[in-house]
Amino acid sequence: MRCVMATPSSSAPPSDTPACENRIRWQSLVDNVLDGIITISEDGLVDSFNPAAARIFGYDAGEVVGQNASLLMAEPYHSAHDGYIRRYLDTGEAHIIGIGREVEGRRKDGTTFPMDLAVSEMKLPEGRFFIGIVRDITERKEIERMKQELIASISHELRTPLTSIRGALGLLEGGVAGPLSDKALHLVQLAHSNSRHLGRLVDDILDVEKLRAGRMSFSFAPLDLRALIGQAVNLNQSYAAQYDITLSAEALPDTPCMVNGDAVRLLQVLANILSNAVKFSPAGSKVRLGIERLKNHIRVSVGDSGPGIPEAFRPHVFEKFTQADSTDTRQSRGTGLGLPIAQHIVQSHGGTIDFLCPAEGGTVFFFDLPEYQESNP
Amino acid sequence: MNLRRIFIVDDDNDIRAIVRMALEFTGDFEIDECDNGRDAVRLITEKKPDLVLLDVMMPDMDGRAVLSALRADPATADIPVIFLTARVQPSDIDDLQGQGAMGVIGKPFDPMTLSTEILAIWRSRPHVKE
Repeated sequence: MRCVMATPSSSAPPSDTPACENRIRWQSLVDNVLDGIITISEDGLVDSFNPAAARIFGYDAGEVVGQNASLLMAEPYHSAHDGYIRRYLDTGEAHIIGIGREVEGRRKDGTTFPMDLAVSEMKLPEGRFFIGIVRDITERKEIERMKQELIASISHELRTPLTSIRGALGLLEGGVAGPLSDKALHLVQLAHSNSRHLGRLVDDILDVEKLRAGRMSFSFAPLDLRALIGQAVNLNQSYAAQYDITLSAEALPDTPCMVNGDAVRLLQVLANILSNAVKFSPAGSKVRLGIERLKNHIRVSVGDSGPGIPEAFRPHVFEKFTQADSTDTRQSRGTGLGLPIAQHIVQSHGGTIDFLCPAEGGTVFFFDLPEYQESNP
Repeated sequence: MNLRRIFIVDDDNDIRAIVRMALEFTGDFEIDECDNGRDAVRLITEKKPDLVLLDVMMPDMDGRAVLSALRADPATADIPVIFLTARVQPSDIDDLQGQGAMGVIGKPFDPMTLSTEILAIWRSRPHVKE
């Protein structure tokens, strides 16, 4: 196999020079790395093929050197390979060169496999070459697939028993099996409330995984945030009542506050913010929801009269699995996932989310969304 | 048309029992039930309920296949179906409604508001007149 530097043998330095020593060092490195390293000429022909590449593709170097590199690629990359190089040489327009990406490789036995491919350019006196670094990611893809299956399965396998548990407790609490003593009712309510918490945890974990994989989907449509606030109050009122908190939509504008949004996801944002506001507010107090029109944006705010957010914790509010302290996690029974999920949803709407801790106490969470314009949704 | 006769299809005995109890306690419904898709198609064709509550993930014949079979038979094509499912991702819900379901209710559900939820979906159908 030739040196990866692709130095023509006629110009190779004498064997006792520092340049030769350097070359031997590099060659040894190239021969022993785990990633496949392939050099390709301007004509698209394989110039060198290291042992890792031989392992990945199942070819000996001698079978591939001098062949068109497209033989290592599955469609559509196989047919497009020469075009990529030609276009790059003619126009400088890069599809793969200089950009790492995932492509489909083809082994000697005809089987295909996913691979990460990074291509860079190398200029030598005898011409331009391209260095391709290849990593077989079959195992990683399989693990990702199994993880997604596991998560889908968890969703089903956890929800099914939860349906029975929540259902049975809900029926008991609702009096289907006759009146319960105060003590029994209290215990059933405890269990029912915890089963609901477990359900929210399952939902949040699934959402976080969707965020990680970039698979959270949105259905955008023009909507009036005033109506959304009304819905959020209705949907979360009974939850707030458990903590003796009143939700109050105040000073809503008279004219529509239109945004291009996913109503279900924005209700999820409001539910997450409201859930925190309710949990941290003193019993008997109000959580206030408001809308304010800003320049090109509409701000939705949720203010509570709780203890506020400790100074040291403020930079971490939107991080996953964080709560102000472990005591809070127990007392408020949060998942530590609601706000990072809310942040992602708001950002996916082109908006921002933040909070204020007014000097007089409490916390105001708010998010700003771009105002919907007919001509510029 | 009033909603009276509801047919529950779910392979989980506990969930069927909870749905039945919840609906009988909170509404004036006649309930029939079945634990698998194949028998469900036969029984629904025979009983012609006003509404079917249908689980999605069932062994052998799943909820989607049951809905397709009901839609393919003129005798059952118009019977409204609401999916009761643990698959509640927006893409799953769109997919299920795209198959011709009248609505989708996610698991876990609140048993005390289940009949209200069902009636809300029932009344939202354009041709249903109380």
